[in-house]
Amino acid sequence: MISARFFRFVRWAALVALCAALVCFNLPDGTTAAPPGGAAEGSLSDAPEGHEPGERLPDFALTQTDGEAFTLSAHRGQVVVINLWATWCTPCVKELPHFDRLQREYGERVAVLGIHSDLITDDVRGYLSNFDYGMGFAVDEGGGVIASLGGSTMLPQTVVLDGRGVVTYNQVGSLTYEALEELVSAALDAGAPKEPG
Amino acid sequence: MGKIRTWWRRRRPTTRRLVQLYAAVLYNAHVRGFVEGRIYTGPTKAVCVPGLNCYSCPGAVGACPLGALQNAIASSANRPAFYVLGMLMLFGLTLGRVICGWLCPVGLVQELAHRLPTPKLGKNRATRALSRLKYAILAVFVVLIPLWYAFRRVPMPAFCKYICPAGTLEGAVGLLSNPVNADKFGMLGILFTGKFIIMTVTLAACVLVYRAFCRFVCPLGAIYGLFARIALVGARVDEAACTGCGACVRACPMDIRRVGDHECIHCGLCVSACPEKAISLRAGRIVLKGPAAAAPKRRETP
Amino acid sequence: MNWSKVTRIAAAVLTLALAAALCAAVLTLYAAGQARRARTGSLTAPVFTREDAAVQLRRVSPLAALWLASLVAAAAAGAPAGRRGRPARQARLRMRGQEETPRRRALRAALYAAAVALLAAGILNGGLNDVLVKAVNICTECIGLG
Repeated sequence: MISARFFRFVRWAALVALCAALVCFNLPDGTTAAPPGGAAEGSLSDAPEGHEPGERLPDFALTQTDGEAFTLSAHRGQVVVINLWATWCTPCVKELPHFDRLQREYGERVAVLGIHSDLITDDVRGYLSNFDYGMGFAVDEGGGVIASLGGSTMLPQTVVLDGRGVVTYNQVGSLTYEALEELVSAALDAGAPKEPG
Repeated sequence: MGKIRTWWRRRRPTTRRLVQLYAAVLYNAHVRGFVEGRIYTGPTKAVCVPGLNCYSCPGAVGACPLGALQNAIASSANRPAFYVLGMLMLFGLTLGRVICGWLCPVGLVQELAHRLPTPKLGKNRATRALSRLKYAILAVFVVLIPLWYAFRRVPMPAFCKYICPAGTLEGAVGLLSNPVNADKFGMLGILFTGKFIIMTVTLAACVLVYRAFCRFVCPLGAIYGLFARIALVGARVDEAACTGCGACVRACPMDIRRVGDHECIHCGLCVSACPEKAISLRAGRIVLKGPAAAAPKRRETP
Repeated sequence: MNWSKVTRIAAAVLTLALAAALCAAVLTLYAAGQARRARTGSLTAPVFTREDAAVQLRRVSPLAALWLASLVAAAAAGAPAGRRGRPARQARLRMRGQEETPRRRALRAALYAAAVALLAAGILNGGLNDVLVKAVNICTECIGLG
């Protein structure tokens, strides 16, 4: 038989625990949203920095799974297609062949990069070795790049940049190949790249 | 003043209701998630909460046991689902369906929906038969389909993806009602349409039928029901004092055949209904509700 | 006029009507979105938009208001006369399996040990990390947002 005093203690302790939880889980964390910056030096457009359509994505550099470096600013003049995916995410994995086909068919006009977050369940390189993808893949160690793309933790996410590095599309959700082509065509038109016509 | 006091005494929330509210708030303590339209990404999400609470809820601070189970089964080809199974076993062995009755936010939502003043459909042989549906759903959508696809290397958490109304309510409605996530509307399509309809029908059913989702659909209830007689905490009948009048079964809103079987959610209504005061809610030997003096006549020698 | 009964039935009917209206609204949104895609020829135009959803909600709101009013009326009309419980079908209902036997205790202890072992094995083989990752990086279609 439990005494009433014990129940009172339990009630009080439970209330304290709840208050502690409400405080701990709502503390402001160190990561703040990327502040909208002005145009960086040497930029091709005076669009503000950010991840929304119309804004210029801040530069980043990642090491690809094949060892090469991928620096965003090095791909000026090309349409850049970034796909956030994960090995365990079925719709992500189902649309990877579309991105790969895009890279193969558009060649030098488009740079496709698949970014996997650093929250890994299975080795990314090991997973990719089962396939023969021509597109680039990288793991976002530290999560900085994903944060600059909007910091959404939902997958799959696709970001399309035109030749000036300005975002033309940034949304969560899977895409068909036809939809991807449409996005890339729009970005190629919008890019007004250095190349003629 | 006395009238207000009697009004309050008749309508004050029961301990069980308070515990349900407590659990619902605790599982979703990340309140700023609702304000900012973002989910919690901290380390506590490695731990499953005992009741059903979708991890796409902006407030959720833990993982959903059912979602975690399906994800684990869906990737069984990579690693067997030991962790989630172990956690579910711990919950089941300790509390069993006490979780359904006391610690599940979806159970709370269903009960609140049932409080709306409409005519209610009572239980009968049909509802008892329908209560077996959740075991079929558990077998097919939570175990077999994910397992089938797991060995084809395609993760497929079928219940979460096609059925679960809690995910639509907490995730879709919870996340997308925030203006910050207006751009996320673009990902919605036929899958969301179907699940939204399921959610709406479920909520409407719960208004008319007590715990319609819990009794007929929820696979987590089915899992915890498997631990029915073996769980540490639960409602028990003192067999010596029981006269077999059946008042408990009649008073019970769930489709039980006996107190404490796999349909019992240990809400404790039967404790007050029993004319012999033979029923109590106990944790092992400790009595939580019921006649304190009625220690069960133990067979073992002292 | 049994107000309690009438208002409660009205509330039930309106609940079903509101549910049907919401289902119709979401289907309308889907159809309109698909039509918009066909019309503009754009494969990436969103099927659901916040603005369209707001329009549909506004259309449903009179019905929702009526539903709320019926609930208030039913609550005000008070509870209906209590129903008699159904008599038990059997003359005697034997409660079995309620005793806490040593065998049950042993089985429970063994299962606890198994559960702890499973947990340990799961933590070691990466299952804990798996749960964390999938609860944080959410595959949207896996929860029906697609």
